[in-house]
Amino acid sequence: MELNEVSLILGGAQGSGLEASMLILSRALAYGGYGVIADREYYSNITGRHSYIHMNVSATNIPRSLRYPVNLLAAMDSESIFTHFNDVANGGVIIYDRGVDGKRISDVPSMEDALKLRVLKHLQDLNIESDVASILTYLEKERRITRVGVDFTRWLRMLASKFELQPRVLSRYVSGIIVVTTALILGLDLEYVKYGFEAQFGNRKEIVKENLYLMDLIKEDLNQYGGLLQIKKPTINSDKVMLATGNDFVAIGKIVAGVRYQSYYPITPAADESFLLEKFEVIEYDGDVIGPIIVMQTEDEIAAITSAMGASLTGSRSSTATSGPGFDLMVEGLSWAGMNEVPIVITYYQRGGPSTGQPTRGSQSDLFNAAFSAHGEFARVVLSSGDHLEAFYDTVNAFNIAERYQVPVIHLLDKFLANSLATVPVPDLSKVTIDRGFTSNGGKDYKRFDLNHKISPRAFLGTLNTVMWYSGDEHDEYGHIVEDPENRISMYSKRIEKLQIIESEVPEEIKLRLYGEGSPDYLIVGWGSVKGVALDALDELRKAGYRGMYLDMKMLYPFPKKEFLKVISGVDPSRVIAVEHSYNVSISDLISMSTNVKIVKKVAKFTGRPMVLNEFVEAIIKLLTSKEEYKVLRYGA
Amino acid sequence: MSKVGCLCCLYFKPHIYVSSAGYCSLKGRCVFGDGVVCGEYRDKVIDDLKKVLSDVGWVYCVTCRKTLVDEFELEDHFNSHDVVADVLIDEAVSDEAPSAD
Repeated sequence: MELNEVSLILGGAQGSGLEASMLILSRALAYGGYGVIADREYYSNITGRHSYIHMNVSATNIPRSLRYPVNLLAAMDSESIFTHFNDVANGGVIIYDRGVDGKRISDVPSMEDALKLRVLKHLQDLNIESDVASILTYLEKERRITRVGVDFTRWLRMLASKFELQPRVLSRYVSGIIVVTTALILGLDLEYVKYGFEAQFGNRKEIVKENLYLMDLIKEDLNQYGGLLQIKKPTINSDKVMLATGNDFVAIGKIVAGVRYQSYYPITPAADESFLLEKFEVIEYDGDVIGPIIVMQTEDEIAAITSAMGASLTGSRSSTATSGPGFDLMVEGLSWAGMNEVPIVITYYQRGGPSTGQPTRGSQSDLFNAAFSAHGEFARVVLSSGDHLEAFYDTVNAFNIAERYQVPVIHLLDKFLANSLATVPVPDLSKVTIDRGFTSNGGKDYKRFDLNHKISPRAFLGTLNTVMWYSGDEHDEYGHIVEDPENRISMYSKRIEKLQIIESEVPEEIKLRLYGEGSPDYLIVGWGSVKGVALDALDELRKAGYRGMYLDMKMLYPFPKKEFLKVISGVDPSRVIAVEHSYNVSISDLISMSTNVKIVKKVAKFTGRPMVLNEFVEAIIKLLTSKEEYKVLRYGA
Repeated sequence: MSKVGCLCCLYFKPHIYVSSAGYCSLKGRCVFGDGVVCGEYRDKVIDDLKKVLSDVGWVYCVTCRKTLVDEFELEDHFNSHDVVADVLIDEAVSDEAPSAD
């Protein structure tokens, strides 16, 4: 039977070729017309520890979420088998290196003790020895899982007999073995894989050639497994797609928005965005240089935000990107931006906290940090994005809002969105507008904080014959430090009352979006990257007879009270469920303090791994059919 | 001797992840660790590794995928793990390892 959709895990040591495997396979699949989403899960020690790519591939649509069990596990080492064997669906396939057959779990020191104990207990319950061969035999007999044992060393040796191999690039061939074997089992046209190699190693012709030779060897050896999990021919109706991560989409959004200064201090999972921008420091269009973007790696996050504010005051669209620990350092600067009405965009990628927490794992636990951090009262905007494409448009929106209202805008994303690779329709640039807000040519009597306007026309530092003053203190219309109480009332009110203008002027589609069927018998409320799994859950639950809607809260501060209350007015409050990657499900508290609506049913996940479809659907059904109010999800290694 | 293979030779520098393959520092080329050894084979003994540790500051445990930086650690790993004098870092490591901090 041909499959509409295939889920798979590629597992191995971080640094051993997984990243390249994901990129080659995803490029091959995208080239062939398939929809792909791939999440990478890795340890914060960077190399050596167990890492895996969890992918969902579809022939019929662009996938929005991940799911278990998977149809295929491609294991580069024994640890991947011990860690994931239970995630493979009945009738699935495990690709593994025959060289690890005799490995016992006790031979794998890199596995954490807690996981080892859980796996050992499970194996004991199943009455299986704790070695790879015993596990694979059990899976074959009891769960109809096909084991495809491959001999990595033999193929590498054959490759070495034909070409003069550089031992420093062996991971490139290990990736090739994993990709080609997987592609054969999925019954993919190997021309797609060839494209994948060329796209990945384009400037290294010898590596492409060697991998193509390897492809022929593998094809010959594993012919019997061809199409074992045959995926259907793709029928996705999309002219052009991009294959990129959330970090990439934000970076591209910044280029399109016209950013001219980006600062950063390297931090997971934000740094990749700045790395991409660095590649485009000079932008050419039709032969003309229309850049440059100055990308500055500063000495710390305080310098990152303050330098971006300085750039912004000169009239450059400016931004910085960070995650929780970096944002904490930026907070003093955020307050300064509030006082001086500086338009700046802070792209904030959440990861697991508190403190260093789980640097390479996901989280949505920083909602309040984004909305309420920094001393004093001032206007700010917090936007979130539900998927890669939204992240692109919201990046442009963030700059427009920042400059139109002269406020700091925090664009709140998370690790899952940042690091996951997805096929996404090419953004429609006709939908993009650039709004630089109220500007002024300055002049002799220019008042930067002119009280005749709530949003004073903005002249830029360096404008001819124009003087303006910026300080952290309260100031008069020129920017001079004053402490007069009447001036304080006027300036303070001017700054903070911008929130009302923002609430009334920002279009509804930037504030929230509603998905699903009208007159729902339940409503899921969430924000950010839970959108994908929530939308897929609506479809699954519809098949089970539940008619639901998903409310994606996009503008989190100022909270769009009016629009939210309109949506929720027709829904039974006991059938509203808030979802979030945190313990508290903070969105329900934000809603409660903003609207007095109390959401008691919640789905939380705080393991650092993304919510997956199977556990999400089960949790929603449980909350709808029982008196339970709080479900904690925990699936995923 | 042929059963032992290059894996146990002091001059064999295994690839950090594909430890059955690597670099022979005497021959200056890619070799596979499970093959028949050559006349230059030199058994890896703990004193050699101690010397490397003293000269270079670290040796590498292939089993644990980590560097060992003191003699006690080396003694602890040597008998049951595959400890080598040097390891071959793959050129792709910077592409393969996402930045983290």
